[in-house]
Amino acid sequence: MYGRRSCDGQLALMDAIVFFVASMIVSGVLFSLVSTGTDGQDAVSAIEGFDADKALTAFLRTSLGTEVEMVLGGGVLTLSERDEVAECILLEAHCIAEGDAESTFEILNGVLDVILESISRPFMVPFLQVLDVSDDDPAVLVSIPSEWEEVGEAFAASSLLTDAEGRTYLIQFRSVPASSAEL
Amino acid sequence: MEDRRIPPFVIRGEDGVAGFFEDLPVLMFVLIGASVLVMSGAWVARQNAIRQLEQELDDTADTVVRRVLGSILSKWGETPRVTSLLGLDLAAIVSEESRGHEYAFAIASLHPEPEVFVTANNGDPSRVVRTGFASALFNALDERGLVLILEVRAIVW
Repeated sequence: MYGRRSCDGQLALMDAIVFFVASMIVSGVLFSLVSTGTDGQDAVSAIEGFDADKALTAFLRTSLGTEVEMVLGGGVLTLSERDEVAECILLEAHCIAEGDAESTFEILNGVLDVILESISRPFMVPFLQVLDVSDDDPAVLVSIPSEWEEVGEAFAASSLLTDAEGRTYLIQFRSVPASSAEL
Repeated sequence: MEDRRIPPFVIRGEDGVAGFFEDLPVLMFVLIGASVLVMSGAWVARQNAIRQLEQELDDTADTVVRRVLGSILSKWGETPRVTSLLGLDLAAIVSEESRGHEYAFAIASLHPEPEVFVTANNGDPSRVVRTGFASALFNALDERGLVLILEVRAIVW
């Protein structure tokens, strides 16, 4: 047997092995503590400092930027490039709440989706949802894109808009890391 | 047997004789264990130093962006004109807030067309190892009467 045996029979080799195992455990704990803090750091760095409230405010206040024509109520409605996004969303939500088909607003939703993409960080996917919250039972009127992803991790902001008839709409904006959205 | 000469470096216990070479496995375990502790401690200390540096760079970039955005909004309100931004000397503000770090700074349009309006930089980007980044969105009015979405971006290293 290796090692020295003392008077009470304790092996120095056993002490050394215990010390070795303890040092490995301590090192493992240190590594795990540090790596826990750096897990997902690439994803975090892509979205670090993203202010969803400011993004939603800038989105709602900006101009449409392109002219949009749609057939509405038997006539052609033209939205100017200078029209505010918030006004366009209110118009769409109001018309859908009144019974107009969602497909009428496909082009407008496409334009809004492009604007949302432009304000999103790389590797992030934006989602916008408009709900009618005038009643006790909120109804989803608009979803951009049409598939609303339910994921846990997201930067979110919301805003309330009221139309001319006093109906209140909740605008929900979420920006989701692309890896989460693709799961 | 009792008279046999035992070299002084050989330790003799009650149950027998154990010399330096018999303790080599003990020495190996102790040395490896101590080395692992030292290396992991050094690695953790280095990671913490890197994290602190990155945090400091991020804070600096954030301060630069807040200061620039604050000076724009306080001067021209929530929707400044793009032409006003072009005449603004932002380099002075950025230099003051960058706390000696090198930086690259820009105000760019994200919507309706991507376009860079203002840039300022100081330093050599080829030597960049760690960076701090911050940005903020705001609206501005262009000469066509469109409300644009602009982004203030700062990268500090």
